[in-house]
Amino acid sequence: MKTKNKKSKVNLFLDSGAYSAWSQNAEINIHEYIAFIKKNIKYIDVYANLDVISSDKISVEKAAAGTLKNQRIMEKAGLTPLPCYHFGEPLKYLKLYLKEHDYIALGGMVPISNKDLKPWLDDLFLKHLCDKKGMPKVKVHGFGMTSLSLMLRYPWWSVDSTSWVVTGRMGGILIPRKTNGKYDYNKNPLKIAVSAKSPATKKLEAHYNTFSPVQQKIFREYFEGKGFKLGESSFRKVKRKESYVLQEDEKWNKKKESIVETIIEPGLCNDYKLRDELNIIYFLDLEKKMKKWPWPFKLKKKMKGFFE
Amino acid sequence: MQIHLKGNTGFNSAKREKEILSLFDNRFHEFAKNKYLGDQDVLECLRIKAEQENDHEMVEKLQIRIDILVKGLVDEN
Repeated sequence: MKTKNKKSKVNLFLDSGAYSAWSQNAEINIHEYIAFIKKNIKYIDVYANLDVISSDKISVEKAAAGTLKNQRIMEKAGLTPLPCYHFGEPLKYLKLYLKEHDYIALGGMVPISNKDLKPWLDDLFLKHLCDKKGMPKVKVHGFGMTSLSLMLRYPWWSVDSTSWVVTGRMGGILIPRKTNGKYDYNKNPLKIAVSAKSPATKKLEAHYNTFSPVQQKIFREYFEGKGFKLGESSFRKVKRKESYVLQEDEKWNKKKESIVETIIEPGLCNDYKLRDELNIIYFLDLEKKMKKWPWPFKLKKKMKGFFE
Repeated sequence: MQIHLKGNTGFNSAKREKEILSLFDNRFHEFAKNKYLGDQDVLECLRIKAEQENDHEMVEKLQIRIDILVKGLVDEN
């Protein structure tokens, strides 16, 4: 047996996890982070700086200074982390990073509404990140950039998203909408609950089962076209849950209520791994449909009214 | 544009689990063939390391992953 030389390149982007730690009131030790990167450096393509996130206790200015301090600590340790500039921080930090790097990250955007993010990003891309022709001067990563409209609006080099896993774990799948009979990745996808255990099973047009047969056919065409089946499960209550031994095709649905799920046919409705895979495929397809970087960012001029 | 599919691939998760392996493994399951995963050499390095550390469970997990990857790369000729 011979193997083809077309090995997939591992594309690893290491996030410091600062945002998750901050949201869980935890702290990350920068020296542990540095040691971790050094130990695994050959596997990692890009690693982010350990950023300091502003809060009630830390002002935006202090957070920006702390982030820069961490950048310098990591650099002194011989590393070249991706610098991160956050929403609302003084521009001097962005200007400094732009002088020193050709790939930077924008962060702190997750809790900010699109309405507030748009003018901030418009200004950054127009005045600092792109040249006079609108072409990006550096590669820009958008941390937690999950809004499709903002993803498409700016010439990002990269973004990250957890939607694939979040949607799947909530029992859902992402399905692209159609325009003139073709899948349109410029529109927000439909999120359809398919899990047999989903609380949305009885909500009209929230769960696969509550859509019309015509709509169900459209959804089926999509996921069957990608090689997935909906699957089928049945549920029953058992007596004496403590002594009940699950069969190979069974799993607890609600152990407290002694309800056992029997997998009649494996598929999206009863296997979160399959939902994950289908949702990954959605993002891989979305990535393929996007404009090839670099492309110019230009603000569309507003049409003036007759009497203006 | 590259869309990095995040989810337990950050430093926090890596610390909690088996270090670098979790970066490759988490939640991607048998999706080893896509570009976010699955360089056979990396997996083999990790397997050798796990063998040296007598971590049999990890060796087994990695072998499964390598088998899946190789299966995807086999040339019918």
